[in-house]
Amino acid sequence: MTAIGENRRRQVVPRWRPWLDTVKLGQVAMPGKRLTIHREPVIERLLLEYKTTGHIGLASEIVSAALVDSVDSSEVESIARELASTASYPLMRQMAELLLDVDFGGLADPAHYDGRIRISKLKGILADEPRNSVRWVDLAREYLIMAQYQQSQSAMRIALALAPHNRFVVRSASAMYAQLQEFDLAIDVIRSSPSYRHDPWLLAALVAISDLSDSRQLGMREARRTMEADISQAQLSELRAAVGTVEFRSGSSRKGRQLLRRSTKDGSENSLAQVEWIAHDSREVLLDHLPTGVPRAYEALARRASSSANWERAIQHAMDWTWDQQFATEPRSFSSSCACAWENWSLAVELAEGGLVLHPDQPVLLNNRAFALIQLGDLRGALIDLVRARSVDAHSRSKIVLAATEACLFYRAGMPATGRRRYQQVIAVLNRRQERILAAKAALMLSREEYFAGSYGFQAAWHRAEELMKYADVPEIRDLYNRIEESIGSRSPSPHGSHSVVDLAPLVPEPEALAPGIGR
Amino acid sequence: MSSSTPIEPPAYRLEGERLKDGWTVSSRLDWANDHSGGSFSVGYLAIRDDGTQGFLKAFDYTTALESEDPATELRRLTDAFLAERTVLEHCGERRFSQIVRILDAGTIRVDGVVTNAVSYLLFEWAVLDGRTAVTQADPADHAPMLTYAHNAAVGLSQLHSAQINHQDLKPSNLVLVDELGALSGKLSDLGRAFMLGRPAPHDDLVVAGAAAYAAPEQLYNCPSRLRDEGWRTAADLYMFGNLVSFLLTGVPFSGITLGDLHPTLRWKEWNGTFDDVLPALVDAHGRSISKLKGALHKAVSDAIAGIIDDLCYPDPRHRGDHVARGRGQNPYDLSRFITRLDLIAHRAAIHLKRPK
Repeated sequence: MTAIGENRRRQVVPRWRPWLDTVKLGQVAMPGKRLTIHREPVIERLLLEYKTTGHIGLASEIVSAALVDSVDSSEVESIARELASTASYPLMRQMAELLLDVDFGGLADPAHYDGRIRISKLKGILADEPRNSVRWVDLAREYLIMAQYQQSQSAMRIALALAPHNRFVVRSASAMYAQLQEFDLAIDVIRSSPSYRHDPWLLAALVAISDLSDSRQLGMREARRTMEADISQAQLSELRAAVGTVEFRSGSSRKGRQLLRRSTKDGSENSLAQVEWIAHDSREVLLDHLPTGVPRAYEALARRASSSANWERAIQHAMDWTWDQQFATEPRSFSSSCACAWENWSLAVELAEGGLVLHPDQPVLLNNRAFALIQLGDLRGALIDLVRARSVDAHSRSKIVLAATEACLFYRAGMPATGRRRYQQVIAVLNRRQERILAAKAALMLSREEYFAGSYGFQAAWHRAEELMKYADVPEIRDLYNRIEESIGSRSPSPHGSHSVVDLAPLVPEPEALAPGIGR
Repeated sequence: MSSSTPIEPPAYRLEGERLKDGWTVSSRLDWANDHSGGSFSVGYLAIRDDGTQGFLKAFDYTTALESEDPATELRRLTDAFLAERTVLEHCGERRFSQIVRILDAGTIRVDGVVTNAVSYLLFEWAVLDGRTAVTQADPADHAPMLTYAHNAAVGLSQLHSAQINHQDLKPSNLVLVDELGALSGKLSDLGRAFMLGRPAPHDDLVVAGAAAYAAPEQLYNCPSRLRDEGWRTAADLYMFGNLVSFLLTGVPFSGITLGDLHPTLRWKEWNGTFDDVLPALVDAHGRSISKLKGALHKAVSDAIAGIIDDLCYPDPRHRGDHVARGRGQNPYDLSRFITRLDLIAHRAAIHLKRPK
């Protein structure tokens, strides 16, 4: 069995993107009051002079001044065009082209991405520019994507030493430490920046990360004060989402809802994703429609599509989300779970494997691959994943889901009695934990296995699943029900062999997560 | 009967006027007029009886008087004239070889108008300026340009030795003067200069000269990164690096660096602090140095790029000669740059001689 939205806690931890992408999203600094400085009307004088002399030295000066002063003029453009085609100085031509073709590009093409090449290029740049803090941050990100955690942290430490108060550097560092579950370090980095008390982007990171950590909640007082200040909606978006999430979870759900809804007005995609996650988690509608035109709202779109069981679309958006946050496990586990729900087993294996290359011990990814491999008949492969998943540290919810996948494997390996008992334990624990949707899902899975095993217990299991579905009336469960009903109608029972083709002994001991009393 | 045709201010009617020492004001040079920052000056070619040419800068009081606030504008103009004259005379007294010489300064009375006084400064005539030199040069032959860059470094060093900051270094303010048949680069237009102990109307401005050549900390309004007047010297170094880049590649370094920034980061759009934009500037600086290296002859590219890297580094605290900084010496002292440019100029003269 798999679970969509395995992550039981989400907050607006800063997105970590390459420097130029962050610049394009306008998230590198606070707008302030621009000060007027004295400025000579250089361009006008130069153009007047150019009319009488018309030489390329002057043309170059005009184009340069236009670039520096952000002058938009057809007269300058025509001079730049002439310079680009006739100048004998190569750099003059390059500068003219810079003015004529200001193309700052979009996302790099995933098909041509090679982390090792990126690292090599960045190291080359940094050999020449050792004080370039933003490139150190980019290098740290590439190392994290390659799961080279020590190198990633070393590069980030250099960036922090060079620009300890820069918003981009601080937010990126906090995102890295949060990804590595080093919440205290993430908090320290933010709090060592003097601007965290009034910069809503840093405050949002502080509130979000301290909410995820086990330490006391930080930044709420400053956050409330900042939210009252005369700051634009866009700048306050993530702060509202972070505070709204804390309020929502701590019982002030009305206040929380208000803040979460407000965070989506002219907001960042991270806020939107947060609202969608809370909506999915709490099974309530916070936004009727997702706002359009929010750049890179991949996660929010993926979550919205999965909520309506539109798996194909959810996977498409989740793949964009994966590309946007390559170092993160959540988009990969989300997309592979969606592929399992869509019953596209090969894709599920492929998506899970993409994540396991970087995070080989990630229990959700191991579970998803194991479940997909079972459906593809590769029981030995599934067994390896499940044994490995048992040895790693995982949340109790993940362990319960893993136990359900083990149950499925027992059925397919010809041990229906063990599988049945495990499924029943899983359902009982999930019911105790009020996990209605997962309980219904497990019950449906059990009845499917009972049917194909030719068991007499099928009818009882099916009725039980239908009972549980009454408390889990969501598209995801209805979709699963329809799929199982269809497969039952189109295929006859085909009991698996009476002896196991694989030795499931390592999985026979019951997982701790299913012990009586656990999960209350 | 009165005429409806507006009468030109006297500063525009100097053609044919006789000055001291046999000088006559010749044709007006409209491109050399300056109506910025309260300057109101008009440029002329002046010719002495022996055929020697000079450049005359006339200060236009009438336009200042016709402004909305004549008292302020007039004071600003007279202050500007006196300030520039003081600096030039000071440079003349100290016989600074690479600063354009002032030949005369005084007042002309123009007939036929009530407010007839025009103050002027007369300079030695320049054969070329930095821009025309670049236009006429062979882009592959760096040797003569390195010599002019060396001349400019000496000129700026001379000013700094007298506690003067030029503050408006740009290609048009490097003039090439014929000295015994050879061209020598000299710094001109000290109208925006800062001199310790001599107040001038532009002293309080963050950017006293042209913004297109100003240092990033000036454009992003953060000169206070350096204490006292150190920021003025750091800014002079940046502008000098711009000039070296222009002479050797035809492009001011600011153009390729600041032009390479994402539009939201450019100084006219940016609303954040200098600290926040600095990493972006450092990044763009690095890319531009690579481009610059690629545009220069391999024999000298690393050395020249190294000089511009030091001179134009966006953070003024790390600008200047890196070796001097490493040794605890003054990184803004231009003497090391003078030596470096001299060495490269010689190397270029040897290695880059083109076959005839």
